[in-house]
Amino acid sequence: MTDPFAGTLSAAAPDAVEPARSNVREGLARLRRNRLAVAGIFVFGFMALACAVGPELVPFDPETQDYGAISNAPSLTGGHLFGTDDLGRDLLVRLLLGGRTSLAIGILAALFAVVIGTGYGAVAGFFGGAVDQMMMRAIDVLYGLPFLFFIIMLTLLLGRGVLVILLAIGGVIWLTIAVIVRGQTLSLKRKDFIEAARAGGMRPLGIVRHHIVPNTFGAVIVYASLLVPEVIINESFLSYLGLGVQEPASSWGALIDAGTAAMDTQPYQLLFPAGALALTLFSLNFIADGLRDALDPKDR
Amino acid sequence: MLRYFLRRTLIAIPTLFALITISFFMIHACPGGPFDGNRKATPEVMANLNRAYHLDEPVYQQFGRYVWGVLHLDFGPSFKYRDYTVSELLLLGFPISLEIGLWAILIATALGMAVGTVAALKQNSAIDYAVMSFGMTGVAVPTFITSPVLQLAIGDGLRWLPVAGWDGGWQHKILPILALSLPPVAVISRLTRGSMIESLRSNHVRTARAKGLGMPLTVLRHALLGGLLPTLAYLGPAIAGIVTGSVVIERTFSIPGIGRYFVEAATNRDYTLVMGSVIVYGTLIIIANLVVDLAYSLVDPKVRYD
Repeated sequence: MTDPFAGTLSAAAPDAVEPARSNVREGLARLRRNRLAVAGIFVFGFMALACAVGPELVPFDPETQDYGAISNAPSLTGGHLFGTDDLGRDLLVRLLLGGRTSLAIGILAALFAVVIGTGYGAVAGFFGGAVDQMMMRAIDVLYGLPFLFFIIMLTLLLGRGVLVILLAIGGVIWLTIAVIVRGQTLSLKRKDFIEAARAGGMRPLGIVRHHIVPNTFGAVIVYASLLVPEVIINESFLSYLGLGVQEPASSWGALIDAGTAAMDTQPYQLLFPAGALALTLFSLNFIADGLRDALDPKDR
Repeated sequence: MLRYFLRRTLIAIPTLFALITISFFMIHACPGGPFDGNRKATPEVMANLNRAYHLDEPVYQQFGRYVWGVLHLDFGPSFKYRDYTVSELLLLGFPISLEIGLWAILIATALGMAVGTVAALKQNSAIDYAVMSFGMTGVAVPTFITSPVLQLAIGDGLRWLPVAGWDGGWQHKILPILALSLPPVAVISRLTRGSMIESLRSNHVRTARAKGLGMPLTVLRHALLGGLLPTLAYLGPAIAGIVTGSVVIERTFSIPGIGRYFVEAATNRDYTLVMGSVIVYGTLIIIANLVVDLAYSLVDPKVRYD
């Protein structure tokens, strides 16, 4: 791209981000009026807080086996509030620690996907032409592939561990974000302030970073909030299949898998982690729905 | 239309090739090999095994050999099930997976659209709220929770149906099909409700009502087509979801389909079986997406392709 004005002006229009911010503020006000979404935020906040500080408050170690209390049912008086598993480990502290893993992976992998997807989509949309064509055909091809198989193969390839799961899931689910950001970019790049930045001699990648990407945040937040539960489901699914988080660490999926094996005799071992996961996914979906209603300009 | 069809079909070929290439090199790059579990094989035996299965060749040469085989519909021998070829294993399991999957899709579409239509007609009633909260459950609660809970409640608790297993009888099919169809039922009922509400407010529906057409006929003849579009668009992803869902379902319900092969084969490094199941699933998803997109362009005249 040859730019006749290159170097004459380096400052970008500083108020370009302002309207987006006020849109977001307006959206947050709408979100506050959505009762289901607010309830979702409270439930999720409670879950996150419990998982963050809870393990420190429960007077049991997640890996210490209590041979006097193997597969104990939940009880209010016996000390083990949620019972113990078949190795005599306290289920409550394992549930909270597992939640820490599941939630952390959910949020971080969604962030990772947002970073890749936003970058990819903004570059494809902004540069257009052959670059866009090639990048979008690649997305078409990737869309046709069975995601889950790739996540499984990536975890086998890179070894098992929290970081690997995070990278594998995040590296596979960014496609929708990329498509949405590209669409936003296509309409944004015809706006005057982009023209101004270009006339001011800003480099294309600089425009993408400082002007395009911040203005796609509204749409990105909505879809990122939908990604978090999706990632948590995928992580739990991997752990459920035995390919995710490994013993002695736990995650909700791993606990559900163990609980399924014990459900004939100790159904609580399945119901507690399944309930925690379902409650979290519920609240996240309500938050995501609320955010979409509040922020997505299409649905107004 | 014809150009669009050709272009979409042509995209399917590189997609499938990319699928085969990426999976092949990924699974071969995974540490370990298919014979690691063998008890104390001498180096000579290992060398013979590797030579017999061409594992001593460079990977690109194995890849060429494999692609050549696939082009002739030869998916090679299984490393784990020594007496079977991959094609035989897939042919044994596929009809079972397909049966469960087709029933799940069928039930999901019919039930989801019926329930969604009722909810739209009775907007903001108790029925509507019940449907919507059920819909949220289906979206939020994954299959690997619903299937053990179903087993626990209906199989183990009420003892109405067998907990797991497969003998070809209908009793063994109900719970897995139910578990597999719950998520798409939920999504389809939500989608149908939304689009039906919009469709019922549209001008041509009001005209039909004004001319004295009864509500049931108006819905059937005029509103339903508009309400059908989002469901149709969702069927592609729904089929992909059912495909991955079958991995869970076949595991929890011990069903001898091909869903259980994938995870098992991937952990055993049964290279050919992994590739075989990836190819079958990938082809299925690609074809489903193609058919759905074409159907969509036929039903919705607003969609134009160039």
